[in-house]
Formats: sequence, C-alpha cells, structure tokens
Amino acid sequence: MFTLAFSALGAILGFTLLLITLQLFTDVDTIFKNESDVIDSEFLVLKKHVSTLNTIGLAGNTAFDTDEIEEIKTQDFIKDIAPFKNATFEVMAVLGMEGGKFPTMKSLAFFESVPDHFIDAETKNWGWEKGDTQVPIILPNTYLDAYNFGIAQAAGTPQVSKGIIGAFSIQLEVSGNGKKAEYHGNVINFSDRINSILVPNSFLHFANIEYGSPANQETFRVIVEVTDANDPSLKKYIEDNGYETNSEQLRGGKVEQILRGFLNFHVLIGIIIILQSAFLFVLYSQILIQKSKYEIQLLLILGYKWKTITNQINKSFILVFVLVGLVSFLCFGAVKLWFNAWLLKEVGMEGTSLISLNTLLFGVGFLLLFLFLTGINISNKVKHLAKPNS
Amino acid sequence: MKIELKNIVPNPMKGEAFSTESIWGKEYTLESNLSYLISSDSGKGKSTLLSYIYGLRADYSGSISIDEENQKNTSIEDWSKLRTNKLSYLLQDLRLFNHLSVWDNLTLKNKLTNHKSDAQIEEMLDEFGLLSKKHQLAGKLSLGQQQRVALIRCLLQPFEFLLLDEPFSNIDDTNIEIAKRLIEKECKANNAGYILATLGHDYEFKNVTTIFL
Repeated sequence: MFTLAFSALGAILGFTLLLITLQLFTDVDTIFKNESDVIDSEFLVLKKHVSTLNTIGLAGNTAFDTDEIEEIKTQDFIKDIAPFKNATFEVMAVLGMEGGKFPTMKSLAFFESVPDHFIDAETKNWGWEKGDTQVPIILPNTYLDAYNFGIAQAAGTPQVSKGIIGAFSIQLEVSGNGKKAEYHGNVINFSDRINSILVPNSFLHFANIEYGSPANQETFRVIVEVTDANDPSLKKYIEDNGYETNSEQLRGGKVEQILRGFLNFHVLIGIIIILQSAFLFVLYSQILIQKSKYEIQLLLILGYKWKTITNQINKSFILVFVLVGLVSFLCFGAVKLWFNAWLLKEVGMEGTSLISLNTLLFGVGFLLLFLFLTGINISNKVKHLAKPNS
Repeated sequence: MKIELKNIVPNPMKGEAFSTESIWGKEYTLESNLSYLISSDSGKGKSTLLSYIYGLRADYSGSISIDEENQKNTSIEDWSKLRTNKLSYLLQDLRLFNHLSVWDNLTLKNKLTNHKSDAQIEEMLDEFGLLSKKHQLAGKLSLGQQQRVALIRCLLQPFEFLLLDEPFSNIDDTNIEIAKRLIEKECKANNAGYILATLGHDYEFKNVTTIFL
C-alpha cells in the first residue's frame, strides 16, 4: 500500500507540474502571437558588422552580394526583402528657412531608396519624374529628435513640429561626372523604421546615371519584412551570419527565448518526475504480481483465462490512474486560477483560459501512456505465469 | 480423450535406470473410457507425470499429445479451455484459497462453467459432512477437510479425464468410501476416466489399469 501511495503521490506531483508547464507553453505562445498580430508583420534593417579591419582596409567591404540576398530570401521567417539603393554621387544639403529665425545649415548628405511598400510613412506626393526640380524626401524621426532635443537646445532656436518641417527649404547641390545640378528638397514625412534619407527610386536611378556610376552601386543594407520579429530562429540566423540589426526590435525574441529555455527545463523536470513515477508504478505492479503469484497461478490452474486475470488487475490500476488524473487536474486548476489572479493584480493582464486543448490532450495522453505501460507489464507477467514451467 | 505419452523422461530423472514395467521412456496411451492407477514408491515421478499431463510443467524430453495435439504447441488460451472443459486436477498440495470461505472456493471454480447448481454443491458438502463448514475460511479447516473440499472443487466442471494426486492421503476410511463413490459417479456422468496417483495403495478400485513408474 505504501508503494502505491508513494507512486500515486509522485505521479500527481509530476503530472501537475507537467500540466502547468504545458499550459505555460501555450500561454507564452498566445501572448507573443497576440503581440505579433497587432503589428501584423514587422520590418528589420540588416547590415553587416563594420570592424576596425574594415576601416583600415584589411577586411573586404561590408556589402551584401546577390547570393547572400537570395539566401536570406529563402528563409522561412522572411516574407520579403529589398536592398537599400544608395547614391553614387555627391550631395550637399543646405537647410534654411525664410525669415532668418533658424540657422542655415550646410552638410554633406546622402540618399538612399527602398521600394515604396517598405516605407512606414504616408507617401502622398512621393514621386519624381525627369525634369522635376522638387525632390520629395523622407527623413528619419531620429533626425527631427536630434534637432529638437539637441541642436535647438544648444543653439537656442525653436523646436519644430513635423507639420512645420515642410516650410523648410532644403537646397540640394548634386554633383558628379563633371556635372552639377540644384534641386529643391521637400520633406514630406518622417520614418520610424528607416534610419536614412530617402528619396524616390526614380530620382535616385536618374541621378546615379547622370552624376554617379551605377556600376559601383553596392548593397550595404537590406530591409526585410518578417512574420515574427520575436521568432528565436530569426535571431539565431542573424547572429550566425554576423549580421546586425536594430537590437531593440529583437529584444522580445530574446525574452521569449530565455522564457522558453526555462520552460524547456521545466518540462524536462516534469518528464523526469513523470518517468520516475511511471517506473514506480511498474515496480508496484510487479511487486503486486509477485505477492499474488500463488493466487494468479491457482486461478490459471483452475482454468481462468490469463486475459480475465489481467483485466481484473488492470481494473484496479485504472481506478488509481483516474484518481491521479483527477487530483492532478484539480491541483493544476487551482494553480492556474491563482496565477491568473496574480497576473491581473500585479501585471494588470487578463489571464488566458483555464486550460488549453493542447494541455488537456497532452495530459490525457500521458495518463493513457501510463496505463498502457502498466497494462503491458501486467499482461506480460501474467502470461509468463501461465506458461508451463520448463 | 486420448493422451499419448511418447518416450517421456523427466529432465531431473535423466540417466536413471527405470524398471522394465516403468512407462518412462516408452510409448503409452491413456484413454478416457478407462481409469488408471499410478502406483509406485515415492520419488518415481507420480506427481510429475500428472503435472506434465495438466500442462503445469514441461521439463521433459519426448512428447505428450492430447487428442493428437502435441502439448508443447498448446497455447495458453487452449490450456485454459482444456482445464475448464476436459481436464480436472486435484493437486497433492490441494491449492485452496485459504483466505476464502469453503463456499467461495467452490463457486470460484463452478462459475467458469456453471456445471453444478448450488443445491448440488451443497449436497456434495453434505455427503462429506462439511455443510456446516460452508462459510468457514478454507485455511481454518483440518487437512482432511481441506482435501475433501478440494476434491469437491475438481468435480465442479465437465471433464474427460480426472487427475487425482494422492486424493485420500489425509482422510479416514469412511470418507474414502464416500469420495470413491462420488468420483465414480461423476466420471460416469461425464463419460470420463480418472488417473489416480497413489503410494502403492490400490483403495480396492474396480476396473482400473495400473501404471508403473
């Protein structure tokens, strides 16, 4: 009886732990999936690490070649990819505003372009045709921040809003191939996603031919659309290939990875306890048969079928397993209710459903596996006793 | 039923010299329209032969066939069928469930085939003077009483051969007579024979073939 009680306690403990872990797995999945659904799909900018070796010219440059881009494209977690096209000509930008309240700034600038659907800003008036002197520009949000919270504070000039930026005139002096031209830059929007000065593809294409050398154009950055930026395999892929990206966006992936690591460990412990209790049950059934050897043999001598005897013993085990299952599910339910209450109180998060279908199916599956193993063991032992001694 | 013994030698007796009358190592056929008395000194393998026939042991060379089927090919399912309908065995060590009552011991066997009615079982108990012990635990009975209960139990099924291993070793002459009468009556009713192992005592059975070991 002691062995049975201990086996049952062990099984309840292991089983409850396993159910909790399985449920946590599902919950973590649901939570992370929900976040991704809100964003729908996510964009990342990939670049190669620039090391000192690159700087002093010992290592090759950090451009992506066509094969690398093709390879990235074939990954499951990549929905779409496009290279950043860069300008191969010189640009000088002169920023000023009528009225003289703002300082005039002159700086060496650069242009890049990506396909329109990768841009996260409204692209109304986003277009350029040959002959246009106005060039629409999209600036990174960080530039505006840098001005508003850096330059404006230091120079004592007023901060500007996104709306007012259109009033700035940006003089663009484009030169190369012995030619020179002036264009009016027109900031139409700001982007969170892309940390670069964007111009329409058509303008860049034209200007590269006119003032630059398109043959020298290389891809140093690519923008990718991914299904789930939290996907640990995406993070691993980026790391394995020595790429870099905006790590903030991948932090979720890291948290999930650590959490999953913990859960895997949890599952492992749950499985070890389960296996130990399964082992105890098998041991208990063997002891039971050993102790009942006289009775079992006598029933066989009297003409009872081995199957009848096995079924009778199994019936008592089914009862034990049903009890183990019920108590474990109750314990699990109590823990889950407590956890949901804690989540609501401490994190302000609505808990997930009490039990998921996965957990239920896995739980019942494990119970059946237990029963199956014990049943096989019992029937083998009884069959062995039924055979004539030789 | 026909039980054919072909050159049977128990493994523990290999290399021993057997008497010329002994059936060990020879061919011998037992038929259920006859009854047999196995007579020998102790240690010659009386119980061994019965346990071979009943399929409890198989540590022998040679072959035993029941109705032309070699026993070594008999499945455990078929052994259950044989033990329920064709062979009945009273073991020397009786093998009762000591923690069950006399009645439970008997009905446990009878319910496999419902061969006898409750009244018939009670009648048998009564003949042996055991009706008052019906609800007593089998383990609390005297050896002689246990032997009579075990004898009744082996009659609670249809059979073609009744195997009896020293069935009277612990009972008095009056009860031996009752037992003999009961055995012969049941064998006749079942159109069966018996194989009775005894230590040189013939118990004045009529029309029996004696087998020597």
